[in-house]
Amino acid sequence: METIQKARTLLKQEETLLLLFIVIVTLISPIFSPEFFTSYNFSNLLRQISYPAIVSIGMLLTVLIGGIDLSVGSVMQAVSLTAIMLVQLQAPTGVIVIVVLALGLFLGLMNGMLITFGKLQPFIVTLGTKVIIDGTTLFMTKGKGISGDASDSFLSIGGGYMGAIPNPVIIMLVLYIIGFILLNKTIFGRQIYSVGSNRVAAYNSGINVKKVQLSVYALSGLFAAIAGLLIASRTGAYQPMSGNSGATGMELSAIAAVVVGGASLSGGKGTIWGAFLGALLAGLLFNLLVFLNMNPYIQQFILGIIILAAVIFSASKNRK
Amino acid sequence: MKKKTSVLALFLVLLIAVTGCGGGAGNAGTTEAASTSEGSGSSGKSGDGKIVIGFSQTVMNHPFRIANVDTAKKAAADLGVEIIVTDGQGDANKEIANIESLIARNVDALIVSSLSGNAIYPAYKEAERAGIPLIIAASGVPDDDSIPYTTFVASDEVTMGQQAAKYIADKMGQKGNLVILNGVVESTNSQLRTQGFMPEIQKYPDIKIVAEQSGEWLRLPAMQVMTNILQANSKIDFVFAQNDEMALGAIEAIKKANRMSEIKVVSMDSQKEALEKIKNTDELMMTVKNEWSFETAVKLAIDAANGKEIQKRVILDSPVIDKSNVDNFYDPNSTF
Repeated sequence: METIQKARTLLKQEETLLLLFIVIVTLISPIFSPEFFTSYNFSNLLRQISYPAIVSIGMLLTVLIGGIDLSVGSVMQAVSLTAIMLVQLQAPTGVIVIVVLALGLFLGLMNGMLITFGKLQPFIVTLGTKVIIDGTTLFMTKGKGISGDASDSFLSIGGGYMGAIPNPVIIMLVLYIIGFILLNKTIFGRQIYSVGSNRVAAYNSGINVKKVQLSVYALSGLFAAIAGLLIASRTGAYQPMSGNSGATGMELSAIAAVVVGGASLSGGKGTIWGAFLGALLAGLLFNLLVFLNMNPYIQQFILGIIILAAVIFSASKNRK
Repeated sequence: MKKKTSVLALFLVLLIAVTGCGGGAGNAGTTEAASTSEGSGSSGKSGDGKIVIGFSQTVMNHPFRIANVDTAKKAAADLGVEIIVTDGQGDANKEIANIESLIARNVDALIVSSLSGNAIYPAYKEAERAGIPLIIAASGVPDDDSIPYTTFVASDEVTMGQQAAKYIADKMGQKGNLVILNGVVESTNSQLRTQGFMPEIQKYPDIKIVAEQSGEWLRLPAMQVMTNILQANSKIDFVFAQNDEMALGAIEAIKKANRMSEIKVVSMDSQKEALEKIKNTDELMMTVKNEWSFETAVKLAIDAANGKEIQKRVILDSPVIDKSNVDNFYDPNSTF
């Protein structure tokens, strides 16, 4: 009886349904294209989702406290550009890694300080910093791509393998484990959920809300920086994106991943496991559409439908 | 419970609907080859023996790029091969991911049109590792020798510039006043076209360049800059615009100034609207063909897939088009 009860609660969670859906899609895919089920394609798929999945961890943290971070894609751009500029100066790989991660933390912290001490809306603050960072990177590069003669150690961060598994996949998994522990096994994690569920109650119960908020935005910048570093070291080049595509569209991918994964944009609700599945689903569909030879325009349409379906599902559950 | 099941069902129905119309969902009539092999689980040349070509397009929101895709699909259908098209949305990482997926899909040859400069190279290397022939079309060619590719196919912008200059010198009787409208100054294409045009036109000392300005590739800026040039110069014989859009803008300005009868306009790119002008009016005299069709690229991909030896560089013809031969080039159904 108890197990049935448990199974029922489990089935009521978005995460479980999402997982079920992903499994079904994965299982029926080979009917349409046998090459889908190859280890090459799986390692390729996991590497493709690693960048948005890593950014989604930071996005989840901001969403959990009822905020949002629209600047993640631009932070990635700034980090990629800085990394390649340091490559051109022939800086050692260790220095590049430290500098760009510090840059990500700093940019995230700036967001956090403006939001916390300026008592401003996260949406507008991070939109503002996004535009400022975009403008700066475009100004510095005059809109042109740059590349440098990168060392093998730098290129191996994002381009290398550990056994048969690409490095970005390993890094993603490690970060998810860290994220899981952070959110579920630490006081800081419980504080994040409390702040998101009820800010005033959290404050009254002695939680340093400002500190939590600052840390969350700094971490979001850090995760974006890790993803940006991985991309820069994968390609060994920086390419500015025009318009709204590219890494500058990363904020939308990350928000979609956490929302599809069951997080509520009003805060307090969402799991890291869901964020991962959300990112996985988007990557899976993107990858699958090539195997199904589908019209590229339809991809975006389908992703939009899935985001809406997830939100509708989540809302209908909350009304009960 | 019921609601959840229905949402899940909605997902599944959607997926099945989408997979059912995969490939065929493109432009009806042009993707028959793609759709007929759909669902049969064709893998490369195995099974029905059909060749599968992957085409990674850089962006799909510009008429030139859409024309690339449409002509590639049509060529594939005509030649009986399957083609899978992906849209990079102008993002190097999306392009790389697309190419990786196409490699995983085990295509027989890859056509890549990219504007991502060096950032795309890891994908080229991956194609080489997988042993898949790479056809670079209508995009930058790697300047680095370590970057592997099978062939590079495009129009030669410098030759296009030379041809325009020769044509103009000939029609001007080697003397007169010329106005030049360049594209976006820092764009490679504008620089290459100038590089071909200028030395050629300077061979004729009696041709005087009375104005050289940028029309930014676009109609409206070209019209504005041409209006100013018309006011500043009472005698203009010829206008050379580096693309059709700017020529069309310049023509509007010249018409407003009532000077169409004394000024001839010449341009480049051969887009449909320009060909219509040449065919039906005397406002545009000539345009140089810029090959937007991907037929050659598809043919090269098929040859490469069949293991045929192909040239490292394929330069497409760029003939001049004026009233005498416009009917050979004008296609009312063309997308560009």
